[in-house]
Amino acid sequence: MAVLSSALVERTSDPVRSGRTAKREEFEEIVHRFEIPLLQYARRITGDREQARDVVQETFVKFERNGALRREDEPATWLFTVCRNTALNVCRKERRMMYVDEELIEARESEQPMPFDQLEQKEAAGFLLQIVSTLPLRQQEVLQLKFQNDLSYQQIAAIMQTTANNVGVLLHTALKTLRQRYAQVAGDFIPFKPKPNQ
Amino acid sequence: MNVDDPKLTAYALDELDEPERSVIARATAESPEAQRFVAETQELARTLRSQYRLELQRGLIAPGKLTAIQGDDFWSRTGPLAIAALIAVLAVVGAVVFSSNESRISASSTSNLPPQLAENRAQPNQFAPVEAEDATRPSQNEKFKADAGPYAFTGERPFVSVMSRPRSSVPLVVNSASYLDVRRSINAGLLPPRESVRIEGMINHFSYEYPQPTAGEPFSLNLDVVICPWEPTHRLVRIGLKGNQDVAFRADSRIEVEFNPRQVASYRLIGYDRQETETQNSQEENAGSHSMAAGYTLTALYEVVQLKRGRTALDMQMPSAAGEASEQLLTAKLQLNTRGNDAAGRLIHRGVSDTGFDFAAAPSDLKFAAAVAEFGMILRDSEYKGNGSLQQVIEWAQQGKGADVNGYRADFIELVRKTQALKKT
Repeated sequence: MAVLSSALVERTSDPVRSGRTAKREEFEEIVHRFEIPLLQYARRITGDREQARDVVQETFVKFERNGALRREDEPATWLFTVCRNTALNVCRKERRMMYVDEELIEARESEQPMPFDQLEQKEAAGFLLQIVSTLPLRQQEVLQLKFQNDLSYQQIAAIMQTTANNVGVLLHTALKTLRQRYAQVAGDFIPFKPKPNQ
Repeated sequence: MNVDDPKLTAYALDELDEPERSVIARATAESPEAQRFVAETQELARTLRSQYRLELQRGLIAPGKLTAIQGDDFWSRTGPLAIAALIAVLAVVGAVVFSSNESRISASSTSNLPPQLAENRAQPNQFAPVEAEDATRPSQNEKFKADAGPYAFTGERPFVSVMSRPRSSVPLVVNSASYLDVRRSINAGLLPPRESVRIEGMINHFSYEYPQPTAGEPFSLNLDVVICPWEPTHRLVRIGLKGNQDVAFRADSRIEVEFNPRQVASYRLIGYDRQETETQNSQEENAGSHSMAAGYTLTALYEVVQLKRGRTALDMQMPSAAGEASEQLLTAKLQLNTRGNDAAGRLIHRGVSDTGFDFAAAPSDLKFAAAVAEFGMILRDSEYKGNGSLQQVIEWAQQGKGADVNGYRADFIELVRKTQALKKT
């Protein structure tokens, strides 16, 4: 096995292969840029940190293997789409194979949107995201794609395999509920002021 | 105009194309209510963006991240072949078949984990990836501290589904200094800060009796299963390693544990919690080669959740030839790497079945190690401390005290008593 690893090091450090190296750097830059956002996204879908890592890992493997780097367009839509499908496959597979197990079902249930009145700390920084966690999962997903990743309605629609119109409705509904629930705890929503230091 | 219109939200977020945008713009200009709605939506969007961004930053500062994906090590060094290997691993996961009653020494070529990946996964202190604790999914047990915010870092290893991850590994090198820090702190009348409590270090501060290796083998590898004392529906698995001679091994040597998906639903390696401030240095400190002092032992504990029998589709897919009762819970392999020769890695291979042994019937060393583990979890206020109490820790430690020639275990019991007193004040 020592032979294998030293051969790999030689391959990648060979100056003749500088084109390959440049490509690798580009790939690494994309990994660097999307790794954490994809992890957060996959985590919200699978509800499991470890699985999210596997999903993101597989997403990057597919990205590399399919030569997606060669494409001219922004890689975000491709990456989030593949990440989403991979994560959903994991969920489906697990449910079919395993989630008859009582304890794991309980674990799943605890990942359902949190009842709003159970939120404990209403003043903490990031409280708005806690309210987000009380929304239906699909609305949470749209919010995350829109506001964490700055994707357009069109991109989000492509990722979630729906229409831009529907994305607009989901987002509108989500923001409306957020406002109402925030007002419920903040007393008066208007004017909405972001907390300092954020 | 009607403000409960997705179009108005889209307009506020600048998502409309012409001519629609102009139409809504004109309508908004005539309606103070619509103007207010747009302003609020934009304000809300700004706040959401900043909070989501903060969440990402919390993710970025977390240590480790994707160990196998980080460009500086795995990807840049190993290139496309490693990716092929990774694909192979992904294909292997879920198709793991266990041979029973294996107990043999074989060459490392029997390892079915590609060495590049295995090394990257198993370096000491370079653990599985950590993102920030996800504030939007607070677990039921998680209490937010005002100063730490909703992102309070616990670093605890969670239970891992065997389906997603049948393998786990334990590095052979443990820093056991943590116990002395904890001891000093409690003796000074202070509960130790959570991050100073390293449970694997505390467990391995004590020495345990394991059988001497048989002639010609550098180690003995020992597995035990008992009912988990702090969570009786679970099992506690002890892995004990003993060396009898000075062997120099590389820091990436490890025990590889493979769980049987037909027996085990999920597992948790106790201790080895991730640290918020884990740095490259802590990895480098553990690089290089270690010599084994005479009498070296390593003890690792796994908490294991068994599969409920007769309920899974997997049983039908993987019919068992042997009787199910005797089927192994897990197998453990010692992967010993020596300097300058990766191929020389030797494997000792052991498997263990569930005996259903009550904790009361456990070997005294196992009881003591379990007491130390639970003590650590209580000090860390671990999500996984289960039903155990400090009083039970004392009882288990007393049952497991053994000969205690040098009095270390008695000192431990005294330490737990002091902690009880501190907790009361």
